[in-house]
Amino acid sequence: MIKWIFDSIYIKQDLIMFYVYIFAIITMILITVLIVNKELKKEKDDN
Amino acid sequence: MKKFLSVFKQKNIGCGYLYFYIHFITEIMCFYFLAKVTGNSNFIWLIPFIYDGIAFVPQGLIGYISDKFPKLKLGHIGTGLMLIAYVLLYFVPNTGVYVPLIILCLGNACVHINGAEVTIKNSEGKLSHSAIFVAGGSFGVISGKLLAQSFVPFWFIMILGLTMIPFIMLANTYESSENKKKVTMFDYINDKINIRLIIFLAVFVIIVRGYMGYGLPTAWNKTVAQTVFLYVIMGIGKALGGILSDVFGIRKVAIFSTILAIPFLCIGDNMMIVSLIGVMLFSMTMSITLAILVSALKNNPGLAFGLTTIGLFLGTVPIFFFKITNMYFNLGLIAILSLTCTLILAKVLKKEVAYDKMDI
Repeated sequence: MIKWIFDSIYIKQDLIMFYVYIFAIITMILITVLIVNKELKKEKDDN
Repeated sequence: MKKFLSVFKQKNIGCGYLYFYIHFITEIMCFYFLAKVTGNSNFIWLIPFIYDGIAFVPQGLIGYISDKFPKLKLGHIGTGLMLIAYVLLYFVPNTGVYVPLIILCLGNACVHINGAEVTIKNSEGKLSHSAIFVAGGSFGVISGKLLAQSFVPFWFIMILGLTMIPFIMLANTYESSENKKKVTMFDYINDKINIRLIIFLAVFVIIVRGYMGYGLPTAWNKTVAQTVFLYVIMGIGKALGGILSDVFGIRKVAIFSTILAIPFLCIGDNMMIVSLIGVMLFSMTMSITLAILVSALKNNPGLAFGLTTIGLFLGTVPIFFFKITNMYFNLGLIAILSLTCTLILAKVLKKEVAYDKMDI
């Protein structure tokens, strides 16, 4: 029983870390897209 | 032939050779580390997935920072981070796997961005420099995996990592303020198409290539020697893409390599040589898509390179979650995707590039 509780906490921790990782990756991709958009606008204005 | 050989003597091509070695050692460090960590653990699936995400995705942001602060010595920072990851893994007990892994990934990303910036800025609009730099990675990936299975100890890999420092210092001597302005010589894209659409389509081609790299049917690949062949051919293909583009013109090479690759990839499941020709031809698009993105984001070569690695990550994501078992469906998918990439490249690339007519 105790082993099962520890195992489930361990799995939950890993799962939470996994979701944090996915969230971080998506956020980084979105920020990059925004930066690209900003840079293109800037280039257009400069021209 | 004379024109082909003259590519290897181009102005500033030395920075490409130097970064070939730096990229080679970087991948050895990363894949030795990955193979050691996943070798005897339950993380065989999770760790490569985390590695792909943290090494590839932040390169867009790191590239942007490098574009804005060109004095940042990202090559040295990256080497330092990778060495710290090794120290944490082997000398500091109870650190676990994740912290050294994340540090290693960020180090890898910094070195990649530095390599891209240096080779793009010094190439005067040519592709060979960055293609030679990129090719080093394929050789490093397989060497790192093989070294991890051999008797080579971790401290030897750390010494190899230290040897990158003089190479980075030498490569950085190529940088001059005059060369930085020459990024504008990358002018390969069709001006009539919306620039955002061009970026989206180029990233799509990279996603397809990322998927093909892992999802290709290679039933012939059963021995270590055959895996080595596969990676070596991938590396040669990446380098040839840039070199041949400088000789014959980027559009011709893009169209012929992707369209010729289709039959070889489709029928090469059980035939090593046929499959390898297909892999080599398809790998040629690597430097071509980079050139498209640099042409679209002339003031931000680091950011442009970062977009290519984000595309590669997105291409590899499906592989971690599902595998297509129906051979005919997989072959149909490869044929359709390759054909789509050919059409995209034909449409996006400029028909007449003034640079094509120039002597190398």
